[in-house]
Amino acid sequence: MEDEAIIALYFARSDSAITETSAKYGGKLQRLSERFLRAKEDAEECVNDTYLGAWNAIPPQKPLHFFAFLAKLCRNIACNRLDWLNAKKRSAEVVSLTAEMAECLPGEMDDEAMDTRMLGELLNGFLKALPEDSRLIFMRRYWYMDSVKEIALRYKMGESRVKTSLHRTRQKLRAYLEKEDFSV
Amino acid sequence: MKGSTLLAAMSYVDDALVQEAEDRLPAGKVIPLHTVRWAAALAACVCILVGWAVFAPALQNAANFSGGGKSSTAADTTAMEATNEAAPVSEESFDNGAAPAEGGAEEEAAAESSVLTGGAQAPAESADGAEIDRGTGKDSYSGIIPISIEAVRELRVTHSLAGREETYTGADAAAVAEYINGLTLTEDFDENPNESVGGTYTLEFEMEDGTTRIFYHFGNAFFCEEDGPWYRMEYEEAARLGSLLGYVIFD
Repeated sequence: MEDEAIIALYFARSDSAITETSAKYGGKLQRLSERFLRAKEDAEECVNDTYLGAWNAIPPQKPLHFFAFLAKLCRNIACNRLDWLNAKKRSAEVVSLTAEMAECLPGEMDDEAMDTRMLGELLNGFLKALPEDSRLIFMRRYWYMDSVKEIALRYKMGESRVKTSLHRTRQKLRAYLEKEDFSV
Repeated sequence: MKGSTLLAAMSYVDDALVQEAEDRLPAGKVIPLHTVRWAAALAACVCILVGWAVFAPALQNAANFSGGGKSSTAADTTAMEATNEAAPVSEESFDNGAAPAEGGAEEEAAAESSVLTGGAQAPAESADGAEIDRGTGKDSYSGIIPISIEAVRELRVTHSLAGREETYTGADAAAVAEYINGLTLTEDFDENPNESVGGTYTLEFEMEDGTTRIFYHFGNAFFCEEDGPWYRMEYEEAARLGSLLGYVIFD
């Protein structure tokens, strides 16, 4: 079923909206949430919460990119469930990603000075200025939590090239955040 | 701020970016733009080189058929003026007696309007003082202006297939000039010389006054002077030029 038709079901407040959403995107959302949450049950619960979030948001919202809308909901819910303080409870991938993202941070950024949403806006500007290939690789790694191998397979390139691209983009992001820190 | 904060902040990037990263599924290898540019430049260079290698010989032949860019306006004037006084050259310089007959061919050709005779047509117009502007080049007249035989200092002959140049002076050069003057040339013909294949004699006459006249004798069928139009030759006459040049050049 097309996205527009599924969204129409949400607007019609039809129960089948959830069913169709699950049929079309359930697998992808499950994989995404499993990358954040070690327990499969937690991931399933995260996906169900995503459906509930979509049900509550549509209407009035009418997402232009339906999957992106669902994935963001799912990712936010998963992030909120993540126990950031206890590394043992996080998946190995998230631990690795957290460490990589820490490289992007300028020395002494004040945690209070910038909330997550504001940082997200900064990231938007940064990502839009990136070359497309670098942006796609970065998004697959740090948004979808794909492994380097998965990205290499997806874009039919060597793992070393993926790693190089990610490293350079992280350096650029660090420089970008350093520059923006003064104006925030 | 920690890496986890940044990772969590990724959740707030635009839907369009999220969708883009999802939609570009096995879209093939992501090739950097500068790589594409270099590849395109390299491909263009290869195409130019290959094209040049393929078409250069054809273009060279076409240039030979249509005549070179060498100007010899002064030679034309000199040649035309000298033609009226031209004296026949003895055939004794050629043992095979292949030199063309004089006079008779010219008179016959002059009677036919569609046939231009090298030795007759141009001088007749010249005598009339007609629309011919001799000072502006060969485009203003039709036909081949006879070569002033006495004014020939040297003849250089090359053949496109022989690939060498022979130089002749005196009676030998004069005999070839006389042969050319005696050619029966037809202006109207159906064949296209530029679509024909054959060997080309390039006959370059250097005159006493330092000017040159260049003629192309192509495939025993077509004849022209430098940048002038092509004329159709009679086969027997054309073949005789071949044997004449063969005697002169290669014996």
